[in-house]
Amino acid sequence: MSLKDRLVRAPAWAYAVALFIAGIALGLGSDALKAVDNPVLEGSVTALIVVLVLGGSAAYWRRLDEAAREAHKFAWYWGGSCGLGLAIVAFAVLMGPEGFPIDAGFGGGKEPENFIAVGILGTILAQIAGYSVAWFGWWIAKR
Amino acid sequence: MMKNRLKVLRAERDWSQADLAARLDVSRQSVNAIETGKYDPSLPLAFKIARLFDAPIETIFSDA
Repeated sequence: MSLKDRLVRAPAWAYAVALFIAGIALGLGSDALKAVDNPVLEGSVTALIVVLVLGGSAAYWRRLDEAAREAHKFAWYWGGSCGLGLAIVAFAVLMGPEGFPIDAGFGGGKEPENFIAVGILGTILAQIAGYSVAWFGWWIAKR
Repeated sequence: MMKNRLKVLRAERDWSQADLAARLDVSRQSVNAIETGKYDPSLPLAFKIARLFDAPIETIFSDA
């Protein structure tokens, strides 16, 4: 069986797992490439991985049937929005009069970008959590 | 939500949900959601179901 046949026959969950791994590789890879100090190489490799991830996402979406797509659309809108809302509320509550209650940002750094990274990561994690809950909830409700 | 006779039609042919899912090119979970009336299929999928069972669409799905 050729690689193309294997890819065509691979189940949707295999695409999801591969995309998850590729997404992590994209993050770790672009960070590691900074050590090379070659912006062209860094940009090229990052762009290649982004194209592969986007292509894989499109392939994954085409493999889903309409109910599975509805579940994702529901999770994207309601789960993502609620996760974002919870993250905003959480950051607002944590942000007291003396500022954010941590003395170092992402990676232990104390530069503004380290703290911005904490905000971005926290928001994304809250959205992923909301998305997951909404996605599972949709399927449980349709059982 | 609409009602449907999918489970009856499937049982008449002695098909499992997985069999029907394979014939419709959807997941077994989707077939289950449609059968239990908790998910309304799109028009293209409803027509595909009607063609598979060789029955008018209104004899399979009803809004009452």
